[in-house]
Amino acid sequence: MQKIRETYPVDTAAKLFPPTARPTNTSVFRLSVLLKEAVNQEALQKAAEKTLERYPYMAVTLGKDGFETARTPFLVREEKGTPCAPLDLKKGGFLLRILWYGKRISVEMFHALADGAGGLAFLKTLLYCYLTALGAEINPEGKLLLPGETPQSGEYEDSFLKYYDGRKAPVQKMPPAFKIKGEPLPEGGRNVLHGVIGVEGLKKAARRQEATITEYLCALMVYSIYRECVDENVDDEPIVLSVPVNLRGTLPSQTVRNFFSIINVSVPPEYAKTFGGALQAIKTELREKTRAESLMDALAQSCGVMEHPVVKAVPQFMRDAGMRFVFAFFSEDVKTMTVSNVGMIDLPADMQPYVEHAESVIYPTERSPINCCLCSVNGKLTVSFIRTIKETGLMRFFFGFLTRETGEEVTVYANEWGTSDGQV
Amino acid sequence: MGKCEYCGVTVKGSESCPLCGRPVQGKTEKMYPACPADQNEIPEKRTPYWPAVVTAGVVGICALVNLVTRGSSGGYWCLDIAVIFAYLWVLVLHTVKSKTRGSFKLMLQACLIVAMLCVFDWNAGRGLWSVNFAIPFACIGMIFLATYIVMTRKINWSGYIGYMVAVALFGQIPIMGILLGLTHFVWPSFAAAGYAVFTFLMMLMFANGRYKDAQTRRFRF
Repeated sequence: MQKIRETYPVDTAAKLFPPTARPTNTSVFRLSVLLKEAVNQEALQKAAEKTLERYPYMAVTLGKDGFETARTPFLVREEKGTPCAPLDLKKGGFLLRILWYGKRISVEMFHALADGAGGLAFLKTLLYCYLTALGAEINPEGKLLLPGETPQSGEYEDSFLKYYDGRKAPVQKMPPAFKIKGEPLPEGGRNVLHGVIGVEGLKKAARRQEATITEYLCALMVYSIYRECVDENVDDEPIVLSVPVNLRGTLPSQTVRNFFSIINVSVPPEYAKTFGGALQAIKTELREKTRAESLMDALAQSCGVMEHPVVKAVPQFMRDAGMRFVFAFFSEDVKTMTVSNVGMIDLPADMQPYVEHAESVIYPTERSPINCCLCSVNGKLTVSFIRTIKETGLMRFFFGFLTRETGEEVTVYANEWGTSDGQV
Repeated sequence: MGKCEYCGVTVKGSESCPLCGRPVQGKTEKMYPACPADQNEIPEKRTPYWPAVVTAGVVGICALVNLVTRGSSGGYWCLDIAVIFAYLWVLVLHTVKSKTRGSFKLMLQACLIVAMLCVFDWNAGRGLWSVNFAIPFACIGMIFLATYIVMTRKINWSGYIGYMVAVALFGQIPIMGILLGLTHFVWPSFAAAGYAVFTFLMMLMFANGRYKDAQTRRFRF
């Protein structure tokens, strides 16, 4: 019989999230799949229980000694509020939710638990369990972690510490970035707006510019921000996109927990004036900063600070205050927007016919009121914007440009938060 | 699914385009539920009960001790304590936490500092050192701070005008003391007023070329 661990340590990257989480910065991200049939709640409940047995290190609460195995039963819920709602960490509940609405199954996770890649692994297993509970025959093709398997210790290891080679990389503060401002939406919710587009047309458009899809979309985002949000007479700060990079592509980690690094891609206003200029700047910087050596430096920066003996010796409450300062000064102050590309969701061929498309949503923050997340499945890429301000000009310009340049049809839909009066 | 001709996109799950708000034809099934606000999971906003209790306790005890021990010729030193606490409350709740514009915060700070200095002076024997010296020099400090903010921070023209109004106000406060006949040493007050006029004119003419352009366009100069 599988022995159930009582506690799991909070990994290096995850230490930042609990002290900085608050209603305006929930640190909760969401991954969803839209099926072709309406969701069956009973099957989803069974699938959730089975999946959490496979991922015992996800069925946890946040306690004094790190992640503690939850004692209460887990229940899936029908979606009622807005995406990425805060989790109350003090009440000792689960650090994830499984929600359903219509044809959508969503997993919302506290970022301390896992990153996008970890969340995706969980979602794929959940979807597999759900479809098999409905009687589907699926060949997993080795593309997902199967229920019934014994969890390996590598799945919940702290890969930051494992792959930190002890090098020293000085942490440098970047200059303050341009901030998007707007009329705030009512508190207590977030507006999400998705645009679904065919990957083929997008790939061709990116290839014409000798760029990858991520580079192309990041450049378009910078150009859209410049065109719709920047006041040329007043704003002279660079537009900085904060792009999370999956370190599993560089290092052979099997962890389902956090293993990512943030790179800040900065585009000066003079480059952002044209799409070509923005793309050139993005390509140069993105390629330089995603080299293995640069990523190892980024990893060293994270570990060097967190593992410093002085930092470790400081009492918890002082460390938490320090984390909040570091978050505000080194993360929030130096970025304009987060653009996270979760990437292609590689489903087994037997699962693909059940899935229409996928969505990924990353939480907004106070100083970054619009964030963007991308993911693709079955040849459809979904660009998801989340916002806490009313203005939609940026999204309108972004999707208008995509429609014109790729020739693909863009299908948009949104929730109604802040727009119930029909005014956007 | 409907088509928004204005934005060039297909719209799903809504009668209006989520990008521009214009109505579209052909509604499909809803993609999201109606959106209530975050409910039980939202951590409640903390009301500052303990600081309020501490403030009320300290001020109350001080007032009691003051009234019991003051005798026939004693002063009301408990008022000094009360205004210090009042200042701290405004400092934290308004100056630090509020998101109102900076010039308004600065003006409120100036008014509070003036009030605080007057109370201290009145309690310390009515030597009028507050109106003669302290308030004019506090106003000069505030004008200097406003100048520093305008020169170093990115502000739009309405914010800029706010600071100009603040500078003009800081110049007027010491003059009020002269007009009311309270101020005997007038040179610090005139120095503050002169510095305010000088700063105001500099802000109007030289500080920000872009602002000047905006003014020219706005007022059709």
